[in-house]
Amino acid sequence: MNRQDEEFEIFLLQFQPRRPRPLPEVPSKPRIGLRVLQAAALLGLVCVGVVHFTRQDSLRNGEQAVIKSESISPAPINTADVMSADHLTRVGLANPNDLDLMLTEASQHLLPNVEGSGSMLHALAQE
Amino acid sequence: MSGRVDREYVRRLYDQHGAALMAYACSILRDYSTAEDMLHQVFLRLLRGDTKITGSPVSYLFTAVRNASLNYRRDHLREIPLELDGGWLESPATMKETAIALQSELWELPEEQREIIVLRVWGQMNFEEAARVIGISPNTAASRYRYGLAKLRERLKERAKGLDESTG
Repeated sequence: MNRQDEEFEIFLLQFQPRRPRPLPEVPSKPRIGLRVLQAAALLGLVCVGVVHFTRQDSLRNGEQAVIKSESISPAPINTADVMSADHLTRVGLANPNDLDLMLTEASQHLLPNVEGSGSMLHALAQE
Repeated sequence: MSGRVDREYVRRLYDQHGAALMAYACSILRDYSTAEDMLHQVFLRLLRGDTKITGSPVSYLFTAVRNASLNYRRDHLREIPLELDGGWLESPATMKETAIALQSELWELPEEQREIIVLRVWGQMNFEEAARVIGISPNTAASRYRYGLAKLRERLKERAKGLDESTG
């Protein structure tokens, strides 16, 4: 830079650029506070917990119901084996009393109970 | 700058460098109102947090204004006026004619010389800073500046001589 250039720079600096218009206002972005985020996370956890425990309860109840129903029902008897014509004939020929006992026992599993307090006939009789 | 936008800081930068940045945008676009739009575009992006200042704030701003202006000129080539639309230099009351002549002669310079003169004189940058904004070496920037300054001085002298002859 020579002296001539420096003087010319000073001359140029007498002219200043026009100032631009002020910047327009910028609306601030909605900021989600930390506390709001924490509350939302907590609410989410509570919801997940409630759903989880509700499902666990319903599953447990279901299992218990199955166990109960299994414990109430009598042991199944294979009536097909007991009531076959061949078997009944052999028992009847060997001992007619045993045949009566066997038929009586089998009838409790094969025929509806009309004598119990919870039977349909009992209910009708009471009416 | 931190992750959060410091709006006060951005507005302070606008107040400090807005005029020089306007001169720079005008030296590329010729149109005052378009140059102002480019300047606002750059600062609004900063205020909205769409972009962040990296490195030296002044260099960043001049580079951002340069890029925005060049992109606009590329996309709106037919809309750029051939003559300067709206003066961008303010002058002392007695030198209005000279201000008009100066703007006109600046426009006659090759863009690469005009650009470096605006950065150096009104942007108050040294050659290294100006070179970084344009993307050239400091030596090239210094060379362009000297050529441009000498040409501008000569042309203004000729104008002044012509004016003197016509009035005298």
